[in-house]
Amino acid sequence: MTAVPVRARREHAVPGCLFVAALLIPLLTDNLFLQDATILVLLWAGLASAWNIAGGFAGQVSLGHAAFFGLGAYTSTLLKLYLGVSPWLGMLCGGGLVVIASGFIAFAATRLRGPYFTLVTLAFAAVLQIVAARWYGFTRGNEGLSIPFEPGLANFMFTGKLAWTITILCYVVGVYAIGVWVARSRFGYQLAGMREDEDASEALGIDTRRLKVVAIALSAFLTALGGTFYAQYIGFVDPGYVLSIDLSIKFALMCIIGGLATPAGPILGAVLITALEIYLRAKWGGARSGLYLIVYGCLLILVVRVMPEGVLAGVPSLFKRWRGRAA
Amino acid sequence: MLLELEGVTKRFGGLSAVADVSFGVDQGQVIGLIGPNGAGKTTLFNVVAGALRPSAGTIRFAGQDITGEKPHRICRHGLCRTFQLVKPFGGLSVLDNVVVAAFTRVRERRSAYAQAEAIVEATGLKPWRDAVARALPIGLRKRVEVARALATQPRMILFDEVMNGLNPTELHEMMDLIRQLNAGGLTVVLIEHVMAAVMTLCERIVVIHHGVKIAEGPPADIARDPHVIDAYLGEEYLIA
Repeated sequence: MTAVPVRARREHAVPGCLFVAALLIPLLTDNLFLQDATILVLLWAGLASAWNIAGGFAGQVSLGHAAFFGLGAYTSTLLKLYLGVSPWLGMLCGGGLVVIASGFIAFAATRLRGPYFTLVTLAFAAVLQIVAARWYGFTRGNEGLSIPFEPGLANFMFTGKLAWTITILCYVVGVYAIGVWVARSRFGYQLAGMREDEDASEALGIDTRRLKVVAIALSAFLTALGGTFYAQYIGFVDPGYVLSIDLSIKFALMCIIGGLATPAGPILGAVLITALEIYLRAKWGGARSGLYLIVYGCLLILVVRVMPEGVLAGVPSLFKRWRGRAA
Repeated sequence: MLLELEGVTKRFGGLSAVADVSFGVDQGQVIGLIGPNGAGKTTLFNVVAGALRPSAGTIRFAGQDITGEKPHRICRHGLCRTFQLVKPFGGLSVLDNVVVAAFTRVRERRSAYAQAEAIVEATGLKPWRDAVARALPIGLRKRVEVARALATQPRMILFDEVMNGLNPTELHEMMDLIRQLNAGGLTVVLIEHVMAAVMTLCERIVVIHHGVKIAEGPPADIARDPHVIDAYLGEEYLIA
């Protein structure tokens, strides 16, 4: 288990550094590109941590989390546009709606295991994407929805990047704290048992069905909150992105690269993947478009080959091996 | 009577894997369940522990009807089982394996760890406390299976072949452990093919063949029973 107290304290180092650095960047530099990149890293770190609760800790690998993200983003946006509801309230409504919607995924999780479960989650997001794209009268389909720019705390809209950094920092710190709690709690230990062997866990008195429902609902809820943060920050929602399979894969990938079922793993994964993505796109995105995707793909394959347990655990063990060889 | 089976039957399609089996286990007993391969012993355990629903019959534990309840509910009643094909939480340390099970009865992390430490010590797993369960040899993995079951604070454990595949030293340690646990008040039902162990540990033996109970009694009687010799033990055992 990862929740050994001494190691856990050291694990706070990675997220801690990120949080402090993220807060300093808007204070120290006027570079808008860097400020924007920082905010996106924070947002994806929070969302990867949310995915980690279902896909990592509970071992229920979902490739449909874009459904929860999109539902969150659309709920707050539609409520704002049609009824003038504050996005803060809309965010909670989206979270509530998603908890109900996650019941469908959780139901599938109690019947299906492994790849069959993953397929259902994939289909779930795909169906929602089609609905949002086709229901033009309500969602404006593929044209998407723009959120009017009305800065103000009540409108969940800010002019300065510092205010955005702080707002999204609150989100990611919150999700990270929940991850830390999960790793150390009875709930987390039971999830670890379920992830390792479901039948053995049942025989040892663990109600695996209930655990799955709770873990998926919690993960979905936090993902939906992230959806609203994204919608408010970008100011635009369209089904082609917020409900896409690409997004679902991104959540999973960040956790897998960073380290599954550890609180710090998804944070590290989000930093690495987002930084890499932004850097490669800026460097090679224009003239030789598509080239950055090839480099990106190759680097991912390399990381998974060399460090199958994720970078968080992989780098120290590689280092140890290297030192052992030198000595 | 702590555990009571009445006409328990499990059919898979047209096949009766367990047919109309009845017997009881008193508090503090050690009971053996023997029979040839494929006789339905493990199926019977699965039915009692809730992994399978019986087609007919009732199962009572500590006076309560537990027929068809889910495994985790049955464990919480105080009836735990181990698996013939051991199912350790492979990626976790030995201690954490036991901690997960201890959390079934306690909510506090500290008390879960305290209990798990005590059980790891009592089952002789202390030297492997921090080893990853998947890396252990089979004898130790079987012991982890037992330690984990104990951590759920059961009144009765169903052991499914915990002594198979152990070397003579490990076998004696396991037998001593079971004796010790029984002396501490644990009721035990064993499925076992290691006859020397069954004969010395058990005060009563139930024999199953083709899903049907063909004999029940003290070890000495079972060893002489012509039906049992015919179905399972063979002539050689009688001579030995």
